Amino acid sequence: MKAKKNGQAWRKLTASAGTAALIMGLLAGCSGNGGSNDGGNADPEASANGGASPAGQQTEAPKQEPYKMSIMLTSYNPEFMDPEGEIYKRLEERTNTDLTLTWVPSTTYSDKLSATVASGELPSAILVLDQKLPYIVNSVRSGMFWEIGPYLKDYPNLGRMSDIALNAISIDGKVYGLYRERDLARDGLMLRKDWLDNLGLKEPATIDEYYEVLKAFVQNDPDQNGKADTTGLAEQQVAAGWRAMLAWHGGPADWELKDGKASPAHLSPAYMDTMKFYKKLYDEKLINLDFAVVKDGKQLINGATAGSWIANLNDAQGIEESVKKVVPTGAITMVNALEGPADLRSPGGSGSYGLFMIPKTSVKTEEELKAVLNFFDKVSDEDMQNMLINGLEGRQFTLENGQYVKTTDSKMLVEYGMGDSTQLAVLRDKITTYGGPLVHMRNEMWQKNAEIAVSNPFQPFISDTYSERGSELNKIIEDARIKFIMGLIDEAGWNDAVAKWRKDGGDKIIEEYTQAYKAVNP
Amino acid sequence: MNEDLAITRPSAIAGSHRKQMWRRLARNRWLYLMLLPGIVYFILFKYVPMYGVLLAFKNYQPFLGFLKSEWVGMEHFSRFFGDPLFWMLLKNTFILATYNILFFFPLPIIVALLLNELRKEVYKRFIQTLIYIPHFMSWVVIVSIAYLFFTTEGGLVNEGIAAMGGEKIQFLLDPGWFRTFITAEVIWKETGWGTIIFLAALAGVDTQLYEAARMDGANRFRQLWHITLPAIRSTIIILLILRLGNFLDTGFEQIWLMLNSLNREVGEVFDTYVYSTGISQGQYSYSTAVGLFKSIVGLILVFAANQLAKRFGEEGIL
Repeated sequence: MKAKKNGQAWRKLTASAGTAALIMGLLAGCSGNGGSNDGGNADPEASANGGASPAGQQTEAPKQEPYKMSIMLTSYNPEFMDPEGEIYKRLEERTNTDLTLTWVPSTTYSDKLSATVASGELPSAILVLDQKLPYIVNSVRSGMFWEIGPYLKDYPNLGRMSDIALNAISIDGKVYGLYRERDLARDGLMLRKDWLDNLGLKEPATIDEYYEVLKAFVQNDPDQNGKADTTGLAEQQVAAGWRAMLAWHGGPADWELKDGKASPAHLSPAYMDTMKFYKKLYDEKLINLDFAVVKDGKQLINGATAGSWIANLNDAQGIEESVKKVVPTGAITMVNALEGPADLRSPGGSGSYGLFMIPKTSVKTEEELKAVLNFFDKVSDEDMQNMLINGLEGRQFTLENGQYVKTTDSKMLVEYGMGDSTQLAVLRDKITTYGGPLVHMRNEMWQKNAEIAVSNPFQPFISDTYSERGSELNKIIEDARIKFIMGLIDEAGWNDAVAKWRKDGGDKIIEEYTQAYKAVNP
Repeated sequence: MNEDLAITRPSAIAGSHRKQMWRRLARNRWLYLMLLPGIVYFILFKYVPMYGVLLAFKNYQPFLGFLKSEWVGMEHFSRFFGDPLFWMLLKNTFILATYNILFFFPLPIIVALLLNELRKEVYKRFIQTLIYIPHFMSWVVIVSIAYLFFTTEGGLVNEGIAAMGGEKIQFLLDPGWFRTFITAEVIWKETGWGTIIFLAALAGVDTQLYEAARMDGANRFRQLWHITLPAIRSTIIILLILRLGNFLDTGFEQIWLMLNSLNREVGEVFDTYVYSTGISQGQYSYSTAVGLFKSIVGLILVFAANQLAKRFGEEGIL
């Protein structure tokens, strides 16, 4: 009996499974048929036609056939560059390429980059924002990317690339990419000019003066609304102003050479001083007290509740525009660096932000490599640099009495991706700067900063331990720093965290950096 | 059915079994043919991609490709188990997962039972729809809502506490509150959605049983205890077993968004670790090894729970 029952159940099961399979099969069949009848037949023809006609024209023309290339890079704006637009067309024409740009929103770029590299299916050039990430270093060492250092001198524009910046992006002493030029030290202090004026204060020049300004911003009602509703400094979870504040207190930019050995910033006495300064700000409520959970601290100054913001001075223009929406009389001013116990200093970067790397998986021959390099050489021509950064006069902007006026026509804005086209630029040495007073002020500040920049002497070196465990180790230090500022741990607690950092791999990183440094500078 | 075969020799049994099987296959050939696409689907899309777990035993280099990457054996596993973070991750993950089972899992059952007791069908459906709407919100939205309510700077709850003369509480920073928040957010988001399966199971209960119970003088609580609960017991157990399979999946998005420097010691779990090492840092093989470890723990838990369920006389899923 039981066997029979089982048999029935079995049959029922197979029947229902069979039905399910049948339905799935039918569905699959339908879509399959649809695909092969409509798309399957139509597609090849279309592509054959579409492909043949331009190719035919090309062969008739005496010009060399455009090189088909693709680039993956970051986008900061909701709309990507219009491939039918004038700028795109000029770009393709000048560089003699058939260009495909893959824009990836900046917020997800690092994930997308890692996944793309893992898949091995790469575009002709790919923007890498941090070449010291372990998977990039490993890929370079396994031979995935072209070493382009030796080719640069053959190109009129690329030949101008600075040796210092190239050294900073090098891996194992060789250059594997074209850096995107940036000013050396771009961080500074941005303040509400109208608040300073209301309180009868000047821009601070020293850390102590800045502290007084913050105090006044919180206690003396700078927005004159009769309420104590203002914050001094806006900060956020991933610190925006820390590096600058540390340098102003006399600290290094990430790493320094001390007694012939590599030494990280958090071992310097200045680090402790800076933490104590922030702790004072926290205790006296001069900083937003929930900074440790705030994702975007800039919103506080954008929304006119905070009086200052320490970050890339590039932010100033945007902040002023946002503030004016809330307080029409609002204005922003800036200070390039504050004087502390040491000389005036500013935290230096590498002189670039990100580099374009050229994978051997997609660019197979030297010939092709030269075509890709040619692209970047041509976009570094003076007019191309200006086109990518400012747009075209008469389309993206007009000059009225020498004043730069950006267009409001959305079609024109999309032509240069609302400004995303700048992401393509490598060299920026022939740019005409347009813009309001804040933009000029920013450039001036950057120039001043470049003279007082402290840089990280270990930038070009690679520590395997850092590659593997660096992000976990950084968290130990950053978490302890925030806890110290908030008064949850004292100096002994901080020292425990540093000891843990050393034990979990920090000491090895110091050793590896020191060795790498000594190998080059005996 | 086959009693006569019991006395024949083993080989004959095997032989005739085989023959029978073929006969059955032949008889139901169309059914099997229809089953085929389903089987092929599973093999092609579920089993074949499993070779990817081999990455955990290699040092995957995209340029060298899958086959040419070097074999490293258990190196990634020993690095993971030897990592100072391992015990912290394990502890955090287990505690959060246990909280989830203890405090979240029973709630949809209770809510479903309560809803089942409602008389007005329209009212019941209205409530049901209302409570499962949060399921469709993304974690970003929910964490933002939590932030708006509980931050110390102008957060609704803290302003309320301050207005009543109390001291503001660092809900979002204090590690002591972290697990409460994670579990509470899950409860808020998923309870309503979780009731759906239980309500479906409840709808299948034979109404005659209730009538008979009423005739015997059982009150509503007795009916619930003796009829409703036993009726959905197997559903509860199956869902529990399935939940255990994902025991270590604490949900990446929510925790990632709630993490900050002060609660990391209780908040960092396997999922967030895999993200930061695997995706952000591109340590592909290492993160595959961590992921594989998680899956194996899940598989063990499913088998264990299934055995346990069988021992208590339930059917289980395997």
